[in-house]
Amino acid sequence: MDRRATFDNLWLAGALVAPQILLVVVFFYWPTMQALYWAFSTQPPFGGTNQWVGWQNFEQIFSDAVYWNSVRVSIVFAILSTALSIGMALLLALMIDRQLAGHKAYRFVYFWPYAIAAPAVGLAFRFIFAPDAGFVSAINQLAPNLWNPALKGWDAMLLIVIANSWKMMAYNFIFFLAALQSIPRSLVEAAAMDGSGVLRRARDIQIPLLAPTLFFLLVINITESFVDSFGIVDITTGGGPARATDLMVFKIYSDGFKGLDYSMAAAQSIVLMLLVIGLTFVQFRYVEKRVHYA
Amino acid sequence: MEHSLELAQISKAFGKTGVLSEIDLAVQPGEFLSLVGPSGCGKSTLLRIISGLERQDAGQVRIAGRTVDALSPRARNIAMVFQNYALYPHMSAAENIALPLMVDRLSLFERLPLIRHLSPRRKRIEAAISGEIGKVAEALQIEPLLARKPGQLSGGQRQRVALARAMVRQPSLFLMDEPLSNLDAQLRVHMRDELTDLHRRLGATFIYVTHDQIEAMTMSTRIAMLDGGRLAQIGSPADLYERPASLTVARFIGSPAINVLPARLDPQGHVILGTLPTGLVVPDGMAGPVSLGLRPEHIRLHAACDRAMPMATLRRSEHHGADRLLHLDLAEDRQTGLIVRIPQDETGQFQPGETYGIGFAPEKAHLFDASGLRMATRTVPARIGAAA
Repeated sequence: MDRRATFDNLWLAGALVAPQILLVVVFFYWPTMQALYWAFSTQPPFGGTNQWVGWQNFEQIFSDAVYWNSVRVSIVFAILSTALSIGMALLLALMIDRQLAGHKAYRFVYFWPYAIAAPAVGLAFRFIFAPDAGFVSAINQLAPNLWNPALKGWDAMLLIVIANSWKMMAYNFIFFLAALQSIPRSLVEAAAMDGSGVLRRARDIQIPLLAPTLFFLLVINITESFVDSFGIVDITTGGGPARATDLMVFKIYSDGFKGLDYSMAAAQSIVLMLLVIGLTFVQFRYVEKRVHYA
Repeated sequence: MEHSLELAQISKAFGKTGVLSEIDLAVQPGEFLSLVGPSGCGKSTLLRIISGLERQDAGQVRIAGRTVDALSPRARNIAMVFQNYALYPHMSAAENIALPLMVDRLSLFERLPLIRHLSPRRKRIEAAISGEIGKVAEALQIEPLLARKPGQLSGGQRQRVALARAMVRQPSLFLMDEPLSNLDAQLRVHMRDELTDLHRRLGATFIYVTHDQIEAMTMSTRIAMLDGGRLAQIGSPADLYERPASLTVARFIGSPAINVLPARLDPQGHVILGTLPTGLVVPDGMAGPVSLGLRPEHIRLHAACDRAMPMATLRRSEHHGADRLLHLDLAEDRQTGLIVRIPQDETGQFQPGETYGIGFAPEKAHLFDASGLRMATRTVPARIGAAA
């Protein structure tokens, strides 16, 4: 039996898919093509049409120490915020799964941060971690200038890492909880009978069985921290101090829209795009090899 | 001697639904006790309370003379075999069997990657553990399967691995929750045999939950039947079959099921079936309706048409190997079916569609009052089918 719907009337079929194709073309392929064009061309300083310059833009960014700094900062940010958000989410999900007191309320509340837009998260954390007025200012009262994201690069990095993980933690939490609840209860009970305490059950049984989810979230979190961290950086640190939080995606914005160098920004965004495509490929290639339940 | 397991006044409710009420039970060391009952009677809940996976609302659990109510499952030193075996899918059979020992003997740090190499005693302990796995695997004949993961094992093999995992810790008490229910019929009969054999060799106490009365009858030294959260009867398989304490027990034990005929007591305490006296008397019995239980093998059919017998028409005759089961309808009301078991060589004389007289020895009959409880009876000479 042929389960595919087939259309004899090609015009009707075309008309039906046209809105979707139009959307994809206008919002995805057209901008991508435009970025590609800009990346391989440059604008004359006194007006006129773009001039084709080949790989020159790429050569320029790859020989720029400031660009490599932003790559390094992005990688540090990706590793730290992924580790923090996945670790926290796993811990919370394991505790909710144990059905401790109040677990229903917590389960509900833990998902909220993901529903908050990144700039709003950034604004909230900017106030919370303000060295002079936030609640961290109590620390500065004891040890002056111990915490100051406006002056210290690592403080600024920690600030955006915490803000981003707080948001991503909510997303990871839901996936972990769903995966934990799909583990047959009798497995955990069998481990309890076999003598495992809570920690060992998590380490021997639950976390190994979460491996496919863990891998999926790892890829998603790294990708997100590369492309979706602009809002937080823009509101909290603005890439500073001294480019300590100048993530790749933020540098694209500041080069393009603040520095008005579209060609350089476009070349950088092509590099970032290739990076994300690579990560997505890794995910599709390996996430299939999941643990099968007996 | 100390009881291996003692339950005192165990009660449990889930929300407003009462599941178990005031269960008392004492199990001797080395016993094979089956907990049977229809589904929803609370037998699995009782097993989970013994294991510590579930907490009772009231009552006490004592294992080997020690009260364990406050103890977690792991501190109770018991092993459990689950209905779906609950093998860890990411570990090989050997790792599955090793886990209880690993957890018991190695600390968390001795099991972490890299850090574990710092422990001087780890290698010695692991060698001892693999030796013990070898012994258990040999006893259950699963040595060739040790390297495989549960997904690569058949139902019977998984069952054996689950048993091995339970055995390896040498607990004093084994709990089994319908371990054979996922196997096909042939394998089930075979594993029944192996479990009985294993019980004999280990000499440990087995608590075995099943809804299959044949498993309970064939394997156990004693059976405890639960009905509606109460202990309906406890005794040897022969006790439950020959002296069922209630109609529920009588109906549950035995295949094909016992025949239950409506009867009544006359004011003198004679049991009357239809209009005929049965030869059963209940001393100081109150007049009223009662139920008469007759095992299929205790009914005799008579071709001779004696007026003093209830009559039944043969509807169908089934071949069951050595025996034959005859399905009859009672003549007076066609609602009541009757099953009679006769040896194969007596079948020639009975033809479907014919009507036969029913006889039974009154001392083999079971009598239950209106609430389903067993009534004490004695026999008097006037009896149905006395000619037989």
